[in-house]
Amino acid sequence: MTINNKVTNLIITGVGGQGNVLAARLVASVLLEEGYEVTVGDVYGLTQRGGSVASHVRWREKGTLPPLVPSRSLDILVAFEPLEALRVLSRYGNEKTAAVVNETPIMPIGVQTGRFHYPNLAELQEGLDLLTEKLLMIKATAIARELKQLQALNMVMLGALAGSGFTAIKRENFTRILHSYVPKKFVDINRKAFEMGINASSLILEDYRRN
Amino acid sequence: MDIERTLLMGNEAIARGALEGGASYCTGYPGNPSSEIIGNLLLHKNKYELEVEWSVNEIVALEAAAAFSFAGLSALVAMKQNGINVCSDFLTTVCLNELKGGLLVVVCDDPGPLTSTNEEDSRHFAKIAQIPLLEPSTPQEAKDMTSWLLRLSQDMGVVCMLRSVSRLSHCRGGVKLGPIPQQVEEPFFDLQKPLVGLPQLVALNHQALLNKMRKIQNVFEHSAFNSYHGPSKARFLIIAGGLGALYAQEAVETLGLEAVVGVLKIGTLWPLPAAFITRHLYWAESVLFVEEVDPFIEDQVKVLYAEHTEEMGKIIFYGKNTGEVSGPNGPGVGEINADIVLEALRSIFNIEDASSYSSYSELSGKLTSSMLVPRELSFCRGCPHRASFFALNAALKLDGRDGFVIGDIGCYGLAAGETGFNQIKALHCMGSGMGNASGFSKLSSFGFNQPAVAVAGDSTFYHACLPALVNACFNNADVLFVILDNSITAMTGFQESPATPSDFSKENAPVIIENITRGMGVKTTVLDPLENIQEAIELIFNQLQEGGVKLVVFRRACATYEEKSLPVTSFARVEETKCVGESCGCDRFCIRVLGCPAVEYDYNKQKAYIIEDSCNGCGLCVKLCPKEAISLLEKGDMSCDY
Amino acid sequence: MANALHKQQQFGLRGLSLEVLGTDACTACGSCVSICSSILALGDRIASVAECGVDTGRCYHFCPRTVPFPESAGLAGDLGYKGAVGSYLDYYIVRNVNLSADNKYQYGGVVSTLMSRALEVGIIKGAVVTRSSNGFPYPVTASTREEILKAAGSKFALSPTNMEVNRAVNNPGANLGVVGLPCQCTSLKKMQLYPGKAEKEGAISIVLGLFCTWSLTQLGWYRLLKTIGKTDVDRVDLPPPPAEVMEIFSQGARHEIPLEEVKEQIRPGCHVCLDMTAENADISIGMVEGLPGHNTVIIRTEQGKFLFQSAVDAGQLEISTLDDTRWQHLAEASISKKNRAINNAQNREEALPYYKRIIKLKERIEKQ
Repeated sequence: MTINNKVTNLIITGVGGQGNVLAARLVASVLLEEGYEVTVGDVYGLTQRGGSVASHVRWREKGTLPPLVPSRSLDILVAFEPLEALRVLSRYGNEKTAAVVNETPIMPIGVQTGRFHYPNLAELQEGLDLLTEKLLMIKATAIARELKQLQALNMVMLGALAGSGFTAIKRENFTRILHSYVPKKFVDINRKAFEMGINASSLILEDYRRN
Repeated sequence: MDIERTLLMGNEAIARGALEGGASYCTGYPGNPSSEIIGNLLLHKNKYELEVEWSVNEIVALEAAAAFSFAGLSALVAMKQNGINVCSDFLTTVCLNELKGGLLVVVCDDPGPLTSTNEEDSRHFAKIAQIPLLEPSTPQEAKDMTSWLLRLSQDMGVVCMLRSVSRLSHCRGGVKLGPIPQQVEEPFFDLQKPLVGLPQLVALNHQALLNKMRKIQNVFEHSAFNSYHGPSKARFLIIAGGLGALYAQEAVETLGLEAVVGVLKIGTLWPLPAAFITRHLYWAESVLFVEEVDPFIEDQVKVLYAEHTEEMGKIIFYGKNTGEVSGPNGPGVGEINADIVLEALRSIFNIEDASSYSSYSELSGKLTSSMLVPRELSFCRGCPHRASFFALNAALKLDGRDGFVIGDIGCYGLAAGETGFNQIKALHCMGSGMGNASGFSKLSSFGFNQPAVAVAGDSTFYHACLPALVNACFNNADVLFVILDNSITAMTGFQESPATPSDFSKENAPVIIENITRGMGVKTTVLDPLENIQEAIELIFNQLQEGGVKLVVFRRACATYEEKSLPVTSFARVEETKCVGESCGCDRFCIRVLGCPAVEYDYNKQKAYIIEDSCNGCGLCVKLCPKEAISLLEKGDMSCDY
Repeated sequence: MANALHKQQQFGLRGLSLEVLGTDACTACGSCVSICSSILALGDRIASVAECGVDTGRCYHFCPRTVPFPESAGLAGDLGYKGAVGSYLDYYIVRNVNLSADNKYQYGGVVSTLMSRALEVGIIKGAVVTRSSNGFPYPVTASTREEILKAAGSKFALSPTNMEVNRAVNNPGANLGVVGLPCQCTSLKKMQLYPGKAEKEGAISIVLGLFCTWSLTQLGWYRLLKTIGKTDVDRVDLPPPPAEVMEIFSQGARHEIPLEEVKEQIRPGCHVCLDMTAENADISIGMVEGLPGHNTVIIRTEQGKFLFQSAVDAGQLEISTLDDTRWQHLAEASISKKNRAINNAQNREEALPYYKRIIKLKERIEKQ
């Protein structure tokens, strides 16, 4: 067999309600269109209700994969929340993992009630940096707010993933698929969000190259 | 490469299988991880000749579905593992009938469990009822097995069962779709063939069923749902069911054992294809079992081996009984995954795991222990349960007799944790709180005086609480029931309940709770806890001081559901000059105690602030802020300043 | 020293919950309510509904059952025993000159007159008094003489009056007079002495204390009313011994409840109370046995003396001498309440810090 049958493991993680499950569906649809065998597994507790939600997206050219990424086998991480990035990396990360992470934290209830402390953001980012080969910190929430549409956060993050070049997924496929998943009146704003995401990660990558 | 594939969730694939299998009626009761099956079919209701509806509970669902089968049409019933307990009384009698139309019971188990109060393996019910059972490994197979079982059920006249698990029901994969048949049968109930379970007929029917099961076993021997991958005459065999087959395959590939280990995937779990398995067992010296929850296949294969010991020679079995296949909580507990199979194979084949000693693992362990904070579940912004449990908490504390709340299944079960002020102290199954609470009140004659308050959601109330309520009245219990009526089955993804009004005018729900309870003579008070938090506290407190059966309905629509159709019109804002932050007089009450996802604390300014695009203006913090520092503002257009 | 103590102990809600709230020592005075949302009250029920992380807070400091800060040590109701009835400047028998005919002011109407006078001469701008609805008391802030008069009359169930003080004192420039029971007066004194008092808060300028032997829980009061089948109560009376009954007048009819039954409904916190004569008030007021329409008045502070004198000068009150026999009798009753409290504290199973403190007082009383 001449086909490259390497497995790619992507995890899109966030907090219930952030829209990361839909983002994983979009990625999987694009991959399916591109002809891959793709499996998505959603990992969450009692439905959502503010808990951690992670979608495992796995694909290869041939052969159905089970829905969960084995430990320490993650290739690409997209995290809508920095603490969730650490949670996924702690189990699935490895020296080669590349990550796109939204900077804005969401406080867990245990932090609100004072039982726990949310880690210092600079230290957290440093930790994420140590646990990844490449790390792009994106101001995705700020971008979505700039668009006055917090729900577009998932498109900003997908744009950031597309702009990162961490996957070989074609950008134009994303925008095409977007039409079939997003209600018509939100297509424009979502496409805009996607492009702003691409720009955000491209800018960071340029900075990298210059330094 | 095939391009005619659609990305479907396992449950969507089962729904599609129902259509392709010619089901005319689909019903069920919502419960993770099964809810999306009926949810998805409801979207197709008008597109095909199909009757789809939510039932009030699982036994009613199965009974209604059986009527279709009795009349010659096919029907499917979907439920989570607890559901099969509810419907088992009917299941274990209807299985003895000669059915005219197909009748398929789909049960989605929840190994782990991820969302349940037990970790039951529903496969045993196939043995109890003596009905054929299949378990898929992929969404494609989930669809194929569903439609195939509907036809088998019709052809053989037996009830059939499909078992899925959370991970399969909720995973997505590419599925090749098949055609959807037109309905041809005219429904007709044959008066010459009564379906009456008289004792003298049961033995005959039972015998007929067992005969059919022997025929079905023969069909299973040649089923494409069973397959073998690996070297011929493998000496090391993995026998796997459901997702276990994929995990096993991945583990074998990861360790490069393809030349040595064969994977025997079994899709037809009851009756087991004995001859098919025996053929592969013949060459095996070692067998590893991979399946979800109980050693169901494992035990059966060992029985099979006992019948063929002489011809097969010595085989070493590895599995849950022997302990090799084990998650962090031990064998037979929790979900199976590739890591567990990898570990089992590594230990059997003596393969070192390089990654577990790496510097990366060490570093990640260090960072995790210093920074990784758990993210526990909490009520959504604007959730009426936050107000209801604040009121229950306050009233029980003011009452001062160490009272407590007993709950059951629903979002409000989260009140066992901080988000509900740790109020729920017992939680088992649908409606169990009500029965428990009546029992607790009977302890008073033994000197017990802690008040036990039962809570249940509106959907749960109809599902399982009515008998408990009648029982409390019948036996003169002194008990307070609180119905947390958010007018929707929220936990499982917003399925309608009999309390769901068609236009949220609150008056036109199909079945109105207080009409039922007042008809029973139960003193019933209805109140919106979010709007009237002080009154809610007083109401609960006062009811606790009264004797007899009392019922409070805390009625307020689920905020997350309501937001889907009604725009959020207001938000709360903190007036910084009034906020006293962490100092005496408050200590971050709105955040620390209420735990609302929309409120955060600025440690530099020592002030609370509300994330305006996260707030839906429920106003609970406004009412409870001790400094009256929070006020509600109208939401203008989207141009509010972030 | 104080600092070292602060490190060892919890002087916030956690401490209060351990030492007082929800225990049999609590008097439900209301001093810990309306400070924050972690403590709520319903009628005379007070409970902590949430924990609090503040190490040293007003709920603990204001409580009459704690000794949290040096300034409050030595108050009556705790170790500050200064003779049978506490420290005083003078005492009298007093009669309200304008006593109205309906005799609602069963102890002579002196309390209402003094509080109205305080408003009149501008010592205060508002008065926290206890009104009652069907005999169930609740605190209000009155700002006119008429409003004060509406609150006249004895209540037998306790109202957490000080929660209204905590609320009203938040209004900048508030200047309050309060009518309270002895436990409430102790707490009010602690509020006045509290070192951490915010500048923008209003002041408590005059405290009128009522003599008190015990009071009932509201639930207990509700149970008693249930036994006579009445809810609308006009007046309640405790005739002096040997009558062993409580009289309740409802719709013109007189009902009796045996005192023994009534006493079962006494708040447990009252059984360990040392203070009968409101030793921390500016002026303490009680009835005079065998002399209806008259009050015993003890003037304790200069501020109290000023107010009292002003009412006398205005011809609103008529004073006469309290004879030695009566004074002796009062002292005996007060001492007997203290002794009962100490004995009860010794007999209780819970070893609360308050009990330990008051037990130490025994020797000092015996020396007198």
